[in-house]
Amino acid sequence: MRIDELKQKIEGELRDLKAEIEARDPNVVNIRASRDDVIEIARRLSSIGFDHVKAVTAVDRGDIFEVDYIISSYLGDLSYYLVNLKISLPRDDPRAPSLVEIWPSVLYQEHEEHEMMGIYFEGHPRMGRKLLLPENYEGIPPLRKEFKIKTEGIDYGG
Amino acid sequence: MEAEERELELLIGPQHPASGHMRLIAKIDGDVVTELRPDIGYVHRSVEKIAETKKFLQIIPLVERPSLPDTTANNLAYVMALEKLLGIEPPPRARYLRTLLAEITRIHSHLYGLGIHGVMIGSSTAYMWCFGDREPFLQLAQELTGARLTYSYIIPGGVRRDMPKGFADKVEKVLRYMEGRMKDYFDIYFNNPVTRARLEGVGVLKREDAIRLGAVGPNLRASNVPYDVRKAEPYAAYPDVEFDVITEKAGDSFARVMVRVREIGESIKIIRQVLKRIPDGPILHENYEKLIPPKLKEQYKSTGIVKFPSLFANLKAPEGEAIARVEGGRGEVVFHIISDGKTSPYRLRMVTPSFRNVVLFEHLTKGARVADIPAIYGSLDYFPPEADR
Amino acid sequence: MQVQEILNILFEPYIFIPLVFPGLIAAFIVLLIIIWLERKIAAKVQLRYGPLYIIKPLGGVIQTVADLIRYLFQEPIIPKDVDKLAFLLTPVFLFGLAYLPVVVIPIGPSYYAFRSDLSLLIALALTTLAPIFTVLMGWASNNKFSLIGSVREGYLVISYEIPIFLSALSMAILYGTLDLVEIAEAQRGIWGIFLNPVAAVNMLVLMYMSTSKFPFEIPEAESEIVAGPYTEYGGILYGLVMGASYVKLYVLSLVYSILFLGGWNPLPQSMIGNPFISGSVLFIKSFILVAFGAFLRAVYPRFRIDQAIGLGWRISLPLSLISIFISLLLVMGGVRFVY
Repeated sequence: MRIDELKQKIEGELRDLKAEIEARDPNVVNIRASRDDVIEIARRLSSIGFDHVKAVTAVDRGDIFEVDYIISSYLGDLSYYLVNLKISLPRDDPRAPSLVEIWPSVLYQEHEEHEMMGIYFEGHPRMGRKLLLPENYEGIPPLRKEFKIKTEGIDYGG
Repeated sequence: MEAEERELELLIGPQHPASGHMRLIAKIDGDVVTELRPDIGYVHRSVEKIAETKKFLQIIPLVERPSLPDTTANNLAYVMALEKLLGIEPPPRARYLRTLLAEITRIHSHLYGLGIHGVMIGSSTAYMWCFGDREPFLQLAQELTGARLTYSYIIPGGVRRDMPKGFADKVEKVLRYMEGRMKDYFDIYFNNPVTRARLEGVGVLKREDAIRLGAVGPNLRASNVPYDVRKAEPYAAYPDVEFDVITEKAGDSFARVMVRVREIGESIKIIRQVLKRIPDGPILHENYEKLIPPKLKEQYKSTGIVKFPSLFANLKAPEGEAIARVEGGRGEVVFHIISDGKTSPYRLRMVTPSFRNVVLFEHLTKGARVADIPAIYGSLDYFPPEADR
Repeated sequence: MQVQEILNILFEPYIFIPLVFPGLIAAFIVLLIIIWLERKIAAKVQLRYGPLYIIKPLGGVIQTVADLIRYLFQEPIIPKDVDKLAFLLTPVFLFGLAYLPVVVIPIGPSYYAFRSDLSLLIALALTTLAPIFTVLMGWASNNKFSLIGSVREGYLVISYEIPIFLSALSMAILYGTLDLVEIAEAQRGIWGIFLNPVAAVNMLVLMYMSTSKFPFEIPEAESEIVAGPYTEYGGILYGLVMGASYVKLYVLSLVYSILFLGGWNPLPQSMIGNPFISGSVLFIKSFILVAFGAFLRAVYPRFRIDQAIGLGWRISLPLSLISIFISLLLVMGGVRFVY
């Protein structure tokens, strides 16, 4: 199917939910949604045939956090297309519902974005535990823009 | 009076002959594993954070390094995403050269995984042979790119070097050598009754679980899911070459090993087609070629080694975001770059196949025996630095 | 006079056999050579050189001597929480008991240290002492990996002891005697391996199982339990335990050569009385068996513990019963041996 057909199919599926759907050639469909609708959107996308999540990207946009789910399918024609499901979260309340019940493939990725960006995924079984960072790490989540990388040994000033 | 403690907690930790740079926390009841939790992060080097402070071309070696043996996949996926942002396409000869290097890398990455798996189940012969047979491929790569393992060969707009003279004959010699060796491998290792007893029926991954958990690469294809990025969203020269997607039905460790072995055969087929059909032409996009100063351009044309235009030092990508995926030896590499018009990306997301396969450790070892842990670990071809990035 | 007397005493069988040949010194030399040979054979199969330096024309034979000297000078580290007495004494006992059965091995029809009507039983019984110390080593090391390794050793011992005894005893039934000298003499015409091949093959496989040769290298499975019971050992203690399994294999192959390969037969009548010739024939046969065990390293991966135990109980035990049956059939069918 062509990308505009896919876009129409998704629009039809998500008709009653507030979602901005945009198609970018050649194979990406962006869906912008609010965090309240995301679980229902995920369920409906899963029923169309999108069966796994390739990547979860959390972006620090300054006043908001954005969580991008890059979703696709392993089987059939849909495997050519990527659906980019974007959620915006306010900076002072970075909580989002976890999609781990619908797509278990997000387990480790949401965990990583939780510890790197400080976003709390409600319903995720491993919130609070460290995955990649050292166990005794305390401080700003490293991927936030306020965390500046320290360079060592470069100050030549005596 | 405390209850009798039957369960032993075994820390197959970073200091262990067969654990790699990670820790497996295993709870064992007798000889049976009741729970296995992978503890990763020992070699986390924060590639994504560092990439926000480096220039676009400096990020090429940065994203290559975590995924040693299969560096080309990361290099290619990153540059493809960057080219989507820049809005350029490499010339045809460069696309074929990218495919050539990607397939050579796939072969020696599979041999690496097979060798490590061999020594984990006790066959030092498989280990030595696999690593010895990687040598011809590493030397081929050295002739083509100048480096044995971390090539940094693929740059935005094309590739860095052209094929040297006589390269096609050398490649053919190496391919014939590898085909001849396959029979020995089957005689001594793959058809060895002890190997079969250790690997068959061990760590069975059912098809629904493979899809649901998001497994990638040969682990997915061994569970009868015919997904390969080279067919799903063809890139480089893959639309022009013919090859099969190798799948196996059993989903056990032996099936995963067989998928890798047969993929080596498919890669040999692809390399032969690439060498036959490669078109003549430039290896760098014309927008960048015309920016090279004339004296350096003569040098470039005579030696076939690209001289970077000074634009590369401060390459700015337009605002926007791009997603690119590549089928590496271990599985699918996904890059998601968000740019804000500066010389460094605003956000770089790098998802490597080993990171997507970590969940299989927990899932496959339930109810397995202690001796199955290395057998399953090796069959997943998991590389800890690649997962930790 | 003085020197002649000393030499006479030295060549008395009850001193020569346990001390020089095939006893302590010969076992030691076999140990050095077989470790080098194992590495060299594995290297040849695996497209590499193996040990090469230290007097290059000799091909690295001196390498094991260099390793031994290094072990002697290395500081053995004793962890804090181990059971010190058991930790330090078990390697010594293991190595010592491993070659104890050599006492009853004859190297000629009239040259033996200790002759008894039951020498086969004595030899087999003495080989069962060593694994106890392996299990003790795992316990004394206070390390979970060692514990798992020693439990595996315990399971394996139970699986191979009975079939090995039955296979050896089936040959005793066939020859009608338990005396090793008479068993070797009985094979002057035809070797035991042709009379009862089932017992021969069975005992060969079990011999490799009992001394942790691939594919049965299970108690010390490196990629699963580091080094099993030997994990915490370093320095000369490690050298002792590593050598003990080779010495046990050497002793078992001496017994096997006498049981199945004719001992020192076939020997022409004129050389029968010369212990050096007969001893050398016996030695060469057992060395070939040890070298074959070393060669298996290059061919097989290792079994899982349940697969090895399954092999012991489900295949070797029935085969050993069949071998007893075959011996009984041959004896009842009229096969007799003259001594």
